Amino acid sequence: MNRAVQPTYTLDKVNEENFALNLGPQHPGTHGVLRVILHMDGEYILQADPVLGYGHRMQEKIAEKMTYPQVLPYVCRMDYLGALSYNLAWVLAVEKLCQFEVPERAEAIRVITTELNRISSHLLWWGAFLLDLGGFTPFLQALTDRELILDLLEEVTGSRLTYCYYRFGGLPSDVDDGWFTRVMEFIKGFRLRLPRYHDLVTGNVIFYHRAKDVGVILPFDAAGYGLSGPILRGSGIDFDVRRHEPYSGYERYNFEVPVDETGDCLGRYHVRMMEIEQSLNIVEQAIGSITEGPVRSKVPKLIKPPEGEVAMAVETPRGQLVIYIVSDGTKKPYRVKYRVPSFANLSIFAKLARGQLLADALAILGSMDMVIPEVDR
Amino acid sequence: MAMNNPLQKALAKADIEYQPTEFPGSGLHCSLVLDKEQVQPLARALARNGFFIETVTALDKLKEGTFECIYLFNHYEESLRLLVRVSLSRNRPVQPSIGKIFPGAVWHERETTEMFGIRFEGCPDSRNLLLPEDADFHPLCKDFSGVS
Amino acid sequence: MNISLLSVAGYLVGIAALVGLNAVILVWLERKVAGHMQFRLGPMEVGPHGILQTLADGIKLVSKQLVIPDEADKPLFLLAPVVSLVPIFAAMVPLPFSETVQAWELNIGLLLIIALGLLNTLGILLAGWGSNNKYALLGGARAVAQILAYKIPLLICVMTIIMMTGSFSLRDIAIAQQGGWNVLYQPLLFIVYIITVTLETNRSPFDFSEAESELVAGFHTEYSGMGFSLFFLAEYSYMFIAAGLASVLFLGGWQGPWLPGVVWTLIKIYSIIFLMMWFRWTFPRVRIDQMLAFGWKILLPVSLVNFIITAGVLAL
Repeated sequence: MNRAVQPTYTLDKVNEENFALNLGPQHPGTHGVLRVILHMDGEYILQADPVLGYGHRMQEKIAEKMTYPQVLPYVCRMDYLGALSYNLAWVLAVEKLCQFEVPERAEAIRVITTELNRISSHLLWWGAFLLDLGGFTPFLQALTDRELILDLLEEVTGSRLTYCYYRFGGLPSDVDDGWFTRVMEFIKGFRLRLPRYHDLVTGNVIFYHRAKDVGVILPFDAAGYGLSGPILRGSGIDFDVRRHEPYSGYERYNFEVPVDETGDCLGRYHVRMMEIEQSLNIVEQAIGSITEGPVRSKVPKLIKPPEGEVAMAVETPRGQLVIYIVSDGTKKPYRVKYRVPSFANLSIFAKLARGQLLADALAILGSMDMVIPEVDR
Repeated sequence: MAMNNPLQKALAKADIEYQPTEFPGSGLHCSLVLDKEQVQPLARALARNGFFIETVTALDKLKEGTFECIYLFNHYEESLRLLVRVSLSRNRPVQPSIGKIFPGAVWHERETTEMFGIRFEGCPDSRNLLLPEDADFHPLCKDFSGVS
Repeated sequence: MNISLLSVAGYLVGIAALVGLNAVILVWLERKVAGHMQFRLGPMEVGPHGILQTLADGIKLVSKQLVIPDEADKPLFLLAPVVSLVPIFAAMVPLPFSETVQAWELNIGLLLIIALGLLNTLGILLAGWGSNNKYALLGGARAVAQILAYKIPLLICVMTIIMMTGSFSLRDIAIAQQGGWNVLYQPLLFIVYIITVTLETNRSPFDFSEAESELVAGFHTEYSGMGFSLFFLAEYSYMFIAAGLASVLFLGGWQGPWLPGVVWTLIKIYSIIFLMMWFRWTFPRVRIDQMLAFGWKILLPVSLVNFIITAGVLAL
């Protein structure tokens, strides 16, 4: 079919007072290469039209050409801030397909590293959100603490950002007890520093008024758009994949899923701050209950899953990631579908931005914690 | 069968038989093969029962000569993943859109349209999403060998 | 007063030197203050503790290519930084640094400084319009909305002090505080003044016209090299003038024990500038409509009520 000529998005009422502003691919406030065409009336947004694809790398086609282990590095580069969750999702999906067993020690270390990754992602979000609102100092404070996490993870995984640590059947190598001690020290120190974050930002009256009642997401919209993650939990719906479909031993740990009823930027902020604390609890419990044992079970060198399909859901710092693999019995996947959380979360932005001030639209985008390479895949 | 499962309730409303699959092994609670006309009533029943759209995508079965349009739904309260597949011909594939029932499906359908060439009838917006505006090739098809 | 051409020329040269030196010091101070408030050190490489960093930055900026956008309104685009900068030299003239050090004693010195402060915003508006860039235009429009909201509380603030002193001359206002600094009699007014002065100089938390995360760079998006540095020279010099006014109106000007008057004036001015920098690195940005609401609904009534009460107390 001839789709070479596309209809342009027309504005409902065009008059001389409106103008189109390009919140361009290069913009300090869009967290990546996101382009939003805004039709504005002065400072108010009449219509927002996100244009995606500036970072599109055809990850799904690449996965069809690579063997299952070769896809591992690609998966980590989609969401670079929460790379371990993506890593976990791919590894668990293939393990489910091939029915590999994972030793308990490996599961526990997977949980510890994933939760540390979640904390570092939320810290960066905290800094970047405040940067969007105009406060420069919190970013530096968050990065100081995040460096400690990155150092811990670098000792174990070898990378600082795009981790590719898990393997099919477990982990590539064991972790020594000294590392667990260092993680516990970090947690103790971080717990003492966390009140400082709340002093600087959460109690600030300027921040409160910038975030209160801005970008309210109603619960009945959530299901229509397929939202997940802290955005959804900030609107009062208690949905966390770690509770719904526990994986990698999460059912053994005692943690709360924070939920906030208000649905505005401030609610989403509180949910993420509480999630940081809950992640610290999970890591402590995992380290406390870790057992001795192997970290990798015996898996064949050549991964040739049986024919079939599998869907694996994982809770990344941004929401629910579903990896759907269709296998035809060969060593390369037949079809891989990455259902990334930011894709669905961004689809509600056009609706939220309508009628808002430009400053508010950027605050909403900041509170949604987008990683655009994840959206574009 | 007991009507205690939102999925069973929704399927019953849409007159579709419930076919459970083994969840831990496949990650799916129910996998259905439907005709294209059954998708919209099912989507309405699911929307009314609190299901959310996970994704809309497609599978290119080159050997059989068909496309399979794949829908994944899930529920916020209980873990109930439903996979729906609809078989479409490879020549001019058309499928009714659920974009008006689940607003989030519009982006998924846009992506499936540009990647496979499946046209979703009634979709409020069917421009290219990830590919350039003037791209008229469909990369995820198995017989796609590059843009010349 | 006896003004000879030589002394006026001498003072103008001195003011030019002061403006330049002030900019050099403030750029370095801002980066050091920002660094230390953010768990880092700030510039350390160029010179001891980075003192020569501003010189290096200045050389870099001067050597950059002046890029003028294609469809920009060329005369306005080039005129805007000049309109922002030149009135500063005139505005520094009535500012007293001590009993004897003052370029020219004007009996309406205060009025002159406030009037010339408006020209900064005119420069921003010209830059916003002349850049042919929607982000710059939004920045310029925001700056104009800002003036309308804060200028009136500022004027009422200043009028209260004039009413207490009975003269527009800055020297007289400073001398009249020998019995006690005005900040002790008018603490609320001091707070209102500090807020309006932060608004006037487009500093955080009120820096919407150059909001980096929303408007890329606001009114100076299209400026590079010398144009950009002229805007920043203007901003830091207005900070100096505004802090200078604050020290004269509220903190007693050059008065203080042991040290000479000039040193005290500079200490007070730089303390207020440090306060403004402290605000910048602590607070996020206020939204434009919240700022306008704050200006019209809170600052204006508060300063008016203060004015009426002061008038009543003085009449008794």
